[in-house]
Amino acid sequence: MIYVSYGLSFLGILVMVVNVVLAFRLQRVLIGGEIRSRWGLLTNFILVFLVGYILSPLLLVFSVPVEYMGAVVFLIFLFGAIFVSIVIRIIRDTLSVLGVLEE
Amino acid sequence: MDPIQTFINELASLVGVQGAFLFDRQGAINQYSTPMELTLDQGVALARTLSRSLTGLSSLEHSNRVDIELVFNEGRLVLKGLSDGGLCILCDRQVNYSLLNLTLEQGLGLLRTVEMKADTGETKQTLEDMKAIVQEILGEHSQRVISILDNAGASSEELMKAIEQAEKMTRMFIDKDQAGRMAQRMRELVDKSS
Repeated sequence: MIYVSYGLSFLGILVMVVNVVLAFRLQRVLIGGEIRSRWGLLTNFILVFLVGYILSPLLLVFSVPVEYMGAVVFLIFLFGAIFVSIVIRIIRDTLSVLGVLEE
Repeated sequence: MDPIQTFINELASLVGVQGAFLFDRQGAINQYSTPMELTLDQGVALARTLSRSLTGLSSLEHSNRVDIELVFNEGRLVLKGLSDGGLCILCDRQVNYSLLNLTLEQGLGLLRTVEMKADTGETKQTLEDMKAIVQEILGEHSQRVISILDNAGASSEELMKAIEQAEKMTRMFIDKDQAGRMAQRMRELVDKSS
Protein backbone atom coordinates (compact mmCIF):
# COMPACT_ATOMS: atom_id res chain seq x y z
CA MET A 1 0.00 0.00 0.00
CA ILE A 2 2.87 2.34 0.84
CA TYR A 3 4.15 2.03 -2.73
CA VAL A 4 0.75 3.10 -4.08
CA SER A 5 1.05 6.22 -1.89
CA TYR A 6 4.53 6.94 -3.20
CA GLY A 7 3.33 6.40 -6.77
CA LEU A 8 0.42 8.80 -6.33
CA SER A 9 2.70 11.32 -4.68
CA PHE A 10 5.14 11.09 -7.59
CA LEU A 11 2.32 11.64 -10.12
CA GLY A 12 1.08 14.64 -8.10
CA ILE A 13 4.58 16.15 -8.11
CA LEU A 14 4.86 15.60 -11.85
CA VAL A 15 1.54 17.34 -12.57
CA MET A 16 2.47 20.18 -10.22
CA VAL A 17 5.81 20.73 -12.01
CA VAL A 18 3.90 21.05 -15.29
CA ASN A 19 1.50 23.49 -13.57
CA VAL A 20 4.42 25.63 -12.37
CA VAL A 21 5.79 25.83 -15.92
CA LEU A 22 2.35 26.74 -17.32
CA ALA A 23 1.77 29.35 -14.60
CA PHE A 24 5.13 31.06 -15.26
CA ARG A 25 4.54 31.01 -19.01
CA LEU A 26 1.15 32.65 -18.58
CA GLN A 27 2.53 35.22 -16.18
CA ARG A 28 5.16 36.20 -18.75
CA VAL A 29 2.53 37.04 -21.37
CA LEU A 30 0.14 38.93 -19.08
CA ILE A 31 0.60 42.65 -19.69
CA GLY A 32 -0.18 43.94 -16.20
CA GLY A 33 -3.07 45.21 -14.11
CA GLU A 34 -4.87 43.51 -11.25
CA ILE A 35 -5.14 40.19 -13.07
CA ARG A 36 -1.36 39.95 -13.42
CA SER A 37 -0.72 40.67 -9.76
CA ARG A 38 -3.35 38.13 -8.73
CA TRP A 39 -1.83 35.63 -11.11
CA GLY A 40 1.54 36.25 -9.46
CA LEU A 41 -0.05 35.38 -6.13
CA LEU A 42 -1.51 32.20 -7.62
CA THR A 43 1.90 31.25 -9.03
CA ASN A 44 3.41 31.62 -5.55
CA PHE A 45 0.68 29.38 -4.16
CA ILE A 46 1.45 26.79 -6.84
CA LEU A 47 5.13 26.89 -5.83
CA VAL A 48 4.13 26.37 -2.18
CA PHE A 49 1.97 23.43 -3.24
CA LEU A 50 4.89 21.96 -5.19
CA VAL A 51 7.14 22.20 -2.14
CA GLY A 52 4.36 20.61 -0.05
CA TYR A 53 3.95 17.83 -2.60
CA ILE A 54 7.70 17.10 -2.56
CA LEU A 55 7.86 17.13 1.23
CA SER A 56 4.75 15.02 1.84
CA PRO A 57 6.26 11.61 0.88
CA LEU A 58 9.17 12.44 3.19
CA LEU A 59 6.67 12.55 6.06
CA LEU A 60 5.97 8.92 5.29
CA VAL A 61 9.65 8.05 4.87
CA PHE A 62 10.53 9.54 8.26
CA SER A 63 7.33 8.19 9.89
CA VAL A 64 6.28 11.57 11.24
CA PRO A 65 3.62 11.26 14.00
CA VAL A 66 -0.02 11.36 12.84
CA GLU A 67 -0.83 14.63 14.66
CA TYR A 68 1.88 16.47 12.67
CA MET A 69 0.71 14.85 9.44
CA GLY A 70 -2.81 16.09 10.22
CA ALA A 71 -1.54 19.66 10.66
CA VAL A 72 0.25 19.52 7.31
CA VAL A 73 -2.84 18.12 5.54
CA PHE A 74 -5.12 20.82 6.96
CA LEU A 75 -2.59 23.53 6.12
CA ILE A 76 -2.69 22.32 2.50
CA PHE A 77 -6.51 22.36 2.66
CA LEU A 78 -6.40 25.98 3.85
CA PHE A 79 -4.04 27.01 1.06
CA GLY A 80 -6.27 25.15 -1.40
CA ALA A 81 -9.32 27.10 -0.23
CA ILE A 82 -7.50 30.44 -0.59
CA PHE A 83 -6.27 29.36 -4.02
CA VAL A 84 -9.82 28.54 -5.17
CA SER A 85 -11.08 31.88 -3.85
CA ILE A 86 -8.47 33.80 -5.91
CA VAL A 87 -9.27 31.72 -9.01
CA ILE A 88 -12.99 32.49 -8.64
CA ARG A 89 -12.28 36.21 -8.34
CA ILE A 90 -10.03 36.20 -11.40
CA ILE A 91 -12.72 34.41 -13.43
CA ARG A 92 -15.48 36.73 -12.17
CA ASP A 93 -13.51 39.89 -13.00
CA THR A 94 -12.50 38.56 -16.41
CA LEU A 95 -16.09 37.68 -17.29
CA SER A 96 -17.23 41.05 -16.01
CA VAL A 97 -14.79 42.86 -18.32
CA LEU A 98 -15.97 40.68 -21.19
CA GLY A 99 -19.52 41.83 -20.38
CA VAL A 100 -21.01 38.35 -20.29
CA LEU A 101 -22.40 38.52 -16.75
CA GLU A 102 -25.99 39.41 -15.90
CA GLU A 103 -25.76 42.40 -13.58
CA MET B 1 -42.03 68.08 -45.46
CA ASP B 2 -39.47 66.67 -43.00
CA PRO B 3 -38.82 63.01 -44.02
CA ILE B 4 -39.10 61.83 -40.42
CA GLN B 5 -42.48 63.52 -39.99
CA THR B 6 -43.56 61.98 -43.30
CA PHE B 7 -42.55 58.56 -42.00
CA ILE B 8 -44.47 59.04 -38.76
CA ASN B 9 -47.55 60.18 -40.65
CA GLU B 10 -47.21 57.19 -42.94
CA LEU B 11 -47.06 54.92 -39.91
CA ALA B 12 -50.12 56.52 -38.39
CA SER B 13 -52.06 56.11 -41.63
CA LEU B 14 -51.68 52.33 -41.57
CA VAL B 15 -54.86 50.40 -40.82
CA GLY B 16 -54.96 49.58 -37.13
CA VAL B 17 -52.36 52.17 -36.09
CA GLN B 18 -53.73 54.88 -33.78
CA GLY B 19 -50.69 57.08 -33.60
CA ALA B 20 -46.93 57.27 -33.28
CA PHE B 21 -44.42 59.56 -31.69
CA LEU B 22 -40.66 60.02 -31.38
CA PHE B 23 -39.20 60.85 -28.02
CA ASP B 24 -35.70 61.53 -26.69
CA ARG B 25 -33.81 60.15 -23.68
CA GLN B 26 -35.23 62.88 -21.47
CA GLY B 27 -38.75 61.75 -22.35
CA ALA B 28 -39.65 64.80 -24.44
CA ILE B 29 -41.81 64.18 -27.51
CA ASN B 30 -39.98 65.40 -30.60
CA GLN B 31 -42.39 64.50 -33.38
CA TYR B 32 -45.82 62.90 -33.39
CA SER B 33 -48.71 62.12 -35.64
CA THR B 34 -52.40 62.78 -35.23
CA PRO B 35 -54.96 61.51 -34.53
CA MET B 36 -53.76 59.97 -31.31
CA GLU B 37 -56.02 58.52 -28.67
CA LEU B 38 -53.90 60.20 -26.01
CA THR B 39 -53.97 63.77 -24.81
CA LEU B 40 -50.64 65.60 -24.98
CA ASP B 41 -50.17 65.27 -21.19
CA GLN B 42 -50.79 61.55 -21.35
CA GLY B 43 -48.37 61.30 -24.27
CA VAL B 44 -45.65 63.16 -22.36
CA ALA B 45 -46.15 60.95 -19.28
CA LEU B 46 -46.01 57.84 -21.45
CA ALA B 47 -42.88 59.07 -23.25
CA ARG B 48 -41.12 59.66 -19.92
CA THR B 49 -42.02 56.19 -18.66
CA LEU B 50 -40.95 54.58 -21.92
CA SER B 51 -37.71 56.54 -21.94
CA ARG B 52 -36.87 55.33 -18.42
CA SER B 53 -37.77 51.75 -19.38
CA LEU B 54 -35.57 51.93 -22.48
CA THR B 55 -32.64 53.32 -20.50
CA GLY B 56 -33.01 50.56 -17.90
CA LEU B 57 -33.35 47.80 -20.47
CA SER B 58 -30.46 49.15 -22.54
CA SER B 59 -28.13 48.84 -19.56
CA LEU B 60 -29.42 45.36 -18.76
CA GLU B 61 -29.07 44.17 -22.33
CA HIS B 62 -25.70 45.92 -22.87
CA SER B 63 -27.15 47.30 -26.06
CA ASN B 64 -27.97 50.79 -27.25
CA ARG B 65 -31.13 49.68 -28.99
CA VAL B 66 -33.85 47.66 -27.33
CA ASP B 67 -37.27 46.87 -28.78
CA ILE B 68 -40.35 46.29 -26.62
CA GLU B 69 -43.83 45.14 -27.50
CA LEU B 70 -46.68 45.20 -25.04
CA VAL B 71 -50.06 43.66 -25.83
CA PHE B 72 -53.11 44.79 -23.86
CA ASN B 73 -56.80 43.93 -24.07
CA GLU B 74 -57.47 47.23 -25.82
CA GLY B 75 -54.42 47.40 -28.04
CA ARG B 76 -50.76 46.96 -28.69
CA LEU B 77 -47.79 49.20 -27.95
CA VAL B 78 -44.68 48.79 -30.09
CA LEU B 79 -41.52 50.51 -28.95
CA LYS B 80 -38.35 50.73 -31.03
CA GLY B 81 -35.23 51.93 -29.21
CA LEU B 82 -32.99 54.46 -30.94
CA SER B 83 -29.58 55.62 -29.79
CA ASP B 84 -31.00 58.75 -28.18
CA GLY B 85 -34.62 57.88 -27.40
CA GLY B 86 -37.20 55.79 -29.16
CA LEU B 87 -40.18 55.48 -31.44
CA CYS B 88 -43.54 54.53 -29.92
CA ILE B 89 -46.42 53.21 -31.99
CA LEU B 90 -49.89 52.74 -30.52
CA CYS B 91 -52.02 50.29 -32.45
CA ASP B 92 -55.00 47.99 -32.31
CA ARG B 93 -54.47 44.53 -30.96
CA GLN B 94 -55.20 43.01 -34.38
CA VAL B 95 -53.02 45.40 -36.40
CA ASN B 96 -51.65 44.17 -39.70
CA TYR B 97 -48.29 43.31 -38.22
CA SER B 98 -46.48 42.42 -41.44
CA LEU B 99 -47.39 45.74 -43.03
CA LEU B 100 -46.43 47.60 -39.87
CA ASN B 101 -43.05 45.86 -39.72
CA LEU B 102 -42.38 46.56 -43.38
CA THR B 103 -43.09 50.27 -42.93
CA LEU B 104 -41.08 50.31 -39.72
CA GLU B 105 -38.08 48.65 -41.31
CA GLN B 106 -37.87 51.29 -44.02
CA GLY B 107 -38.48 54.16 -41.61
CA LEU B 108 -36.07 52.97 -38.94
CA GLY B 109 -33.36 52.82 -41.59
CA LEU B 110 -34.07 56.48 -42.33
CA LEU B 111 -34.11 57.42 -38.64
CA ARG B 112 -30.81 55.70 -37.96
CA THR B 113 -29.21 57.35 -40.99
CA VAL B 114 -30.36 60.74 -39.71
CA GLU B 115 -28.95 59.86 -36.27
CA MET B 116 -25.63 58.88 -37.79
CA LYS B 117 -25.45 62.14 -39.71
CA ALA B 118 -26.16 64.04 -36.51
CA ASP B 119 -23.42 62.12 -34.78
CA THR B 120 -20.77 63.43 -37.11
CA GLY B 121 -18.98 66.61 -36.15
CA GLU B 122 -18.55 67.19 -32.47
CA THR B 123 -19.09 63.61 -31.26
CA LYS B 124 -16.72 62.28 -33.87
CA GLN B 125 -14.10 64.81 -32.80
CA THR B 126 -14.60 63.88 -29.12
CA LEU B 127 -14.14 60.21 -29.99
CA GLU B 128 -10.97 60.94 -31.93
CA ASP B 129 -9.60 62.97 -29.01
CA MET B 130 -10.46 60.10 -26.65
CA LYS B 131 -8.62 57.65 -28.87
CA ALA B 132 -5.60 59.97 -28.90
CA ILE B 133 -5.61 59.97 -25.08
CA VAL B 134 -5.76 56.17 -25.01
CA GLN B 135 -2.94 55.95 -27.53
CA GLU B 136 -0.83 58.43 -25.57
CA ILE B 137 -1.30 56.68 -22.22
CA LEU B 138 -1.37 53.01 -23.20
CA GLY B 139 0.91 53.11 -26.22
CA GLU B 140 1.31 49.67 -27.77
CA HIS B 141 -1.47 48.21 -25.60
CA SER B 142 -4.07 50.73 -26.72
CA GLN B 143 -5.69 48.69 -29.49
CA ARG B 144 -8.19 46.73 -27.37
CA VAL B 145 -9.34 49.83 -25.54
CA ILE B 146 -9.71 51.74 -28.80
CA SER B 147 -11.95 48.98 -30.12
CA ILE B 148 -14.25 49.55 -27.12
CA LEU B 149 -14.47 53.22 -28.06
CA ASP B 150 -15.12 52.31 -31.71
CA ASN B 151 -18.21 50.38 -30.64
CA ALA B 152 -19.54 53.18 -28.43
CA GLY B 153 -22.72 55.05 -29.30
CA ALA B 154 -22.91 58.76 -30.02
CA SER B 155 -24.60 60.16 -26.92
CA SER B 156 -22.54 61.36 -23.97
CA GLU B 157 -24.24 58.71 -21.82
CA GLU B 158 -23.01 55.99 -24.14
CA LEU B 159 -19.54 57.50 -24.28
CA MET B 160 -19.43 57.51 -20.48
CA LYS B 161 -20.41 53.84 -20.46
CA ALA B 162 -17.63 53.07 -22.95
CA ILE B 163 -15.15 54.97 -20.77
CA GLU B 164 -16.23 52.93 -17.76
CA GLN B 165 -15.72 49.72 -19.71
CA ALA B 166 -12.35 50.88 -21.04
CA GLU B 167 -11.24 51.82 -17.53
CA LYS B 168 -12.28 48.44 -16.18
CA MET B 169 -10.42 46.57 -18.89
CA THR B 170 -7.27 48.66 -18.46
CA ARG B 171 -7.35 48.34 -14.67
CA MET B 172 -7.76 44.57 -14.84
CA PHE B 173 -5.43 43.70 -17.69
CA ILE B 174 -3.02 46.57 -18.37
CA ASP B 175 -2.29 49.00 -15.53
CA LYS B 176 -4.30 50.30 -12.59
CA ASP B 177 -2.73 53.80 -12.47
CA GLN B 178 -2.93 54.32 -16.21
CA ALA B 179 -6.59 53.24 -16.11
CA GLY B 180 -7.49 55.95 -13.61
CA ARG B 181 -5.57 58.68 -15.43
CA MET B 182 -6.95 57.71 -18.83
CA ALA B 183 -10.57 57.55 -17.64
CA GLN B 184 -10.34 60.88 -15.86
CA ARG B 185 -9.03 62.66 -18.95
CA MET B 186 -11.66 61.09 -21.20
CA ARG B 187 -14.48 61.99 -18.78
CA GLU B 188 -13.31 65.60 -18.70
CA LEU B 189 -13.36 65.61 -22.49
CA VAL B 190 -16.93 64.27 -22.68
CA ASP B 191 -18.08 66.70 -19.98
CA LYS B 192 -16.63 69.60 -21.97
CA SER B 193 -18.25 68.53 -25.22
CA SER B 194 -21.73 67.88 -23.76
